[in-house]
Amino acid sequence: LAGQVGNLPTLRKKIPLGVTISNVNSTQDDRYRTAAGEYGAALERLARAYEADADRRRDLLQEIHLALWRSFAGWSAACSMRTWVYRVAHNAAASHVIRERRTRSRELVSVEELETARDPIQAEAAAGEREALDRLFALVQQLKPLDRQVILSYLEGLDAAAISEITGISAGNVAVKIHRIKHVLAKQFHEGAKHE
Amino acid sequence: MNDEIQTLWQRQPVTPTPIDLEKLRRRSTRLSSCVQSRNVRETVAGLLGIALLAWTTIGDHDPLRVTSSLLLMAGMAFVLFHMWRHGRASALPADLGALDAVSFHRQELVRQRDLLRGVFWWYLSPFLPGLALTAVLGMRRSWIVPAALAAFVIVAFWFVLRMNRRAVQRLNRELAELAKEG
Repeated sequence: LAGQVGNLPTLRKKIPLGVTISNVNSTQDDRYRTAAGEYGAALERLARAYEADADRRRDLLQEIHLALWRSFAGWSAACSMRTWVYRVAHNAAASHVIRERRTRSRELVSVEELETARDPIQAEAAAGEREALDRLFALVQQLKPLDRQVILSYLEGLDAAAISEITGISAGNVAVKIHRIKHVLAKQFHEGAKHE
Repeated sequence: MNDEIQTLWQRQPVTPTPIDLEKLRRRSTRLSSCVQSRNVRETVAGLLGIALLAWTTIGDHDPLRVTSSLLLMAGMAFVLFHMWRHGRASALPADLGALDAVSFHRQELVRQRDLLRGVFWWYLSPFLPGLALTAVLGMRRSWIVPAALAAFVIVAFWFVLRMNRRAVQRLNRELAELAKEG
């Protein structure tokens, strides 16, 4: 039965009158190329943050690119390309997390829980950037999908308004979450630095 | 400190994977046909079950036995129809970017919860008339077989309902958490 509930409602693609399929295809391809060129590296980082296993990560990245390409057939420019790309990527990745949760029972936590935890992850000495990044990934990968989206968007340098538009979380809540994320990050990396 | 972490994140070495558009198109077509064939496989398996039951009924002149088989077949057909209508596997929606994360997540959780919440009505109860009549028919010979059947059905139903209630409670908790975010 669990396998039966893995589907999603298919929403109709809207193609304006007078636009031929070949035009749609070329516009779709062009938009995808632009997005992939501009956000390719960010999508790689995003996939890394959602999936630790290298093989599964490669599949997830392909899934994100496929979802992105398909989505551009119905892009209405109601929001910026950046918002669109991040929404598609995060929604596809969140769907991946929900799917994987059925097979890999791993408890995910919220930023709030992480903030109140005494020692959420082992604060080992960060000898270099690689170790610091590993610790950052470990922290991000234990978060629930929505909190993960907020922290990743923050790490990508997006402001609260842009994060609110991508996630649908109210601007006030995003600000609170960012404040907590900063606190958690400072605590984690400060403890790491103390061990050095 | 936080600016440093953002810089560290954005500066991490990344080797962008070259994505071939033709490959994407092929993958998209393959995905659609894969999803379609999975749905077809499930429907065919259900229809085979109905056909098997129909085959065992052919030649039977006992009207009550025929009726119980027909009721079981109708129950199976109803479950199949419901699964086909509400629980079919499909690819991610094409306009994934039109939904923000909270809306997408809520939509997915509500759909899963509603499907699981009604499991007694669409997954279990359609079999009850057929099973009840089968049990009554069995009582004409001995009470042991119908009693064993009834006990098995009760335990199986209880187990399925318990699992689903737990899943519904978890999904409701997630929905309540989500409501606080919006």
